[in-house]
Amino acid sequence: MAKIEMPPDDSRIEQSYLIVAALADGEPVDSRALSEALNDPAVREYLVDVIALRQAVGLVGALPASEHRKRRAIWSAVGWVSAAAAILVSLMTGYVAGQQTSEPSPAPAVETVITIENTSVAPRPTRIIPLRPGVNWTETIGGK
Amino acid sequence: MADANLLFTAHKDGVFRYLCRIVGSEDASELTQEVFLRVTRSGAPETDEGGVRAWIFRIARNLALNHVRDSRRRGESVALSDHAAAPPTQPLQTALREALDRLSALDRDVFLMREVGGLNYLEISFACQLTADAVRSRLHRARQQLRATLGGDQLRKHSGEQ
Repeated sequence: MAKIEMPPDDSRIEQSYLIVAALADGEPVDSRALSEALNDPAVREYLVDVIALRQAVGLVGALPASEHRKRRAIWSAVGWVSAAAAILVSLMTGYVAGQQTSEPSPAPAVETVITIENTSVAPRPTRIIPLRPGVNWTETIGGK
Repeated sequence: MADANLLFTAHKDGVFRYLCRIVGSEDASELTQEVFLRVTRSGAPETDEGGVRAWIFRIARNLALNHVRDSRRRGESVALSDHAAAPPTQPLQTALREALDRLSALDRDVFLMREVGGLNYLEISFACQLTADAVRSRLHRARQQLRATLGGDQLRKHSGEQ
């Protein structure tokens, strides 16, 4: 890379900026030209700004990726929360609708309690019918 | 031929950051892979380290230009999503992004190759197909424009906070 020389023309001021920029960029510069360039306060200020700009740019490229991932993660979380909320609302709506449209429930059934006493002994007969064979009793074969 | 893995390790971050600023972070990931896919396919030229870096950035720049052109053809906005992602707590970063977008494409490429990619003037001249003097001139113009847009005071005030 050729060293930057200061041409003896109107672009001398512009060349001063180029020289300090070359210095900041690690390019070879003529030390005498650099010395003269740095005598100008505006050029020194430019050199400071070149460095400040470099520091600022350093984060620009890295920022979007992390921010994008963060934003995507946020949207992912929002998506899950939205889905859960939708399900919850559906369930609640269904429950409320079911409550409002269902028929009135029937009156509770009357409970009838039947108490069965311990009746191991047959009740006493109230009427006795005597059965006499050939009169009011016919014996058949097989008990029919 | 240089080992593709070594080239990837050495240059992936610079290429990604450079592409990030042009096409946005999401597409930059894919394009970075594409860059090194092409590097692997075609093989690095027989040159020094700087020449290889310039060659890789030339591939990256061409891919980025194609990507931007295709996106515009489809009516998509490139990198706008990344602007929206800028947190309000970093006004300088937001302003810098907007200022970079106001530069001409070539001035911005030259500036980003220098400041993000770390290329020297000769490497940038190869990557952007310019003379070294043109690189110097465009770089200076980009810096002056960024200074004017951002304000030197704001730059200096925030530079220590980065």
